[in-house]
Amino acid sequence: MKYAFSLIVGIVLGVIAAVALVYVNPLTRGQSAPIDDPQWVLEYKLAARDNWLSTHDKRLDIPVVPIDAPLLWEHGIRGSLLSAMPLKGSSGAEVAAATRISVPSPESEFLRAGLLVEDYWLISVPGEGTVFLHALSNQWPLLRDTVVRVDWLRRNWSGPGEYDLTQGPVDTRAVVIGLTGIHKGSSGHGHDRLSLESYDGSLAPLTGQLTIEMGDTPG
Amino acid sequence: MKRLLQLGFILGLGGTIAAAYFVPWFEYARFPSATSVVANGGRVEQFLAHLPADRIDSMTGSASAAPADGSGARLQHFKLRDAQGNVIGLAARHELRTEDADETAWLLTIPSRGTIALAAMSPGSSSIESVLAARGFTPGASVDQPLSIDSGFPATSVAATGEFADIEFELVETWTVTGIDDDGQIRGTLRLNTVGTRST
Repeated sequence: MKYAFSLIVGIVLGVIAAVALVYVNPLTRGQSAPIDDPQWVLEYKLAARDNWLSTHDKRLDIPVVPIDAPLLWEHGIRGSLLSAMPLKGSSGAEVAAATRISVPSPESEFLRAGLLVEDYWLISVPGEGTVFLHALSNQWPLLRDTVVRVDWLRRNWSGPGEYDLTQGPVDTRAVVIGLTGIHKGSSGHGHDRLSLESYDGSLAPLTGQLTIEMGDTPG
Repeated sequence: MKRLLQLGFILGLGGTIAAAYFVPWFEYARFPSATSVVANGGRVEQFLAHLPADRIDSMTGSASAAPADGSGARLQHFKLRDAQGNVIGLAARHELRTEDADETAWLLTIPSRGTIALAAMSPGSSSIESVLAARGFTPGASVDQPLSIDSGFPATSVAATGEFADIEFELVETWTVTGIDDDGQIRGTLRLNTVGTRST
């Protein structure tokens, strides 16, 4: 009996040590450099009052908007996040309407990559056209500092914090492709920065900043 | 006993680290693709949205409202089903009205397979509501026989990811209308008929 007890205690200690290593692992906390002098700077917020639509399978700590929006509970889409929101320009005025579909990536792992999420944006700018943006983001640094650190480990919030989470799909940059209007046929790259001023158990105060540089034009 | 403690520690440490790396943390149900091959070598696949059940922003219509400066951006979101009726993905449709044309962009995301972004331009209003209004159907009107209306101008893919990468798609919207609610929302089925051909 005491032998089994020793083995179990050893296993528990090993698990605790491994979880601690995963928590402090610097390989999964890499952040990318923002774009210098971007062509577009578009701001958005996750708060309910700043979104037209936000729905998921209710496992996320993000408010569902409107409150009676259909949830994404079906097997084929469980884990996805669908949101629609206005995007504000640097002047604070609404300049674009956007849909974002976020899908956790099967490439996620907690030794080298982190918690990877594929973000697909459709951004429509009245008078200009629509662009598609595909970003691969590592959400682990944000969740580690908030949900894991504050909610699970009961430690103090270390923020405010800024998170440059874009890790791809190409060289830590999102891919941007023009679909319609004056942007049709053009392409470029983008970056997504999240900022969190305070954290009291909810990620709703998150604000985001999309920066886009359209490099290649048609022709 | 000390050896067992050490063995347990190594097992716990190694097992947890292996799990952190090898466990598939996110996997999506992958339903068989209901595709068929057409004569020109393309691959046909149909996606469906049953309305109003699969219209995600039908609850208040707030996400369909013209945002920004009110010059005509319109957003619609749907759950996407395969031909067997399984919910397999999400679809977003953006419609931008310009002076002489409607620009429509589609985003089809199927988590287990990838994403397709498509765009179309039609020289008039492309919204199904405007087509129905032009035929005299107003909100609350009953539809005796289901109406089948094609978008007319196919959307072509501009970007694709996952297993859709390297495939060029063409998409035609077909709306089968069985009724119009008092708030103007359409009842029926939206069929997204895609033809994909491998890029050369």
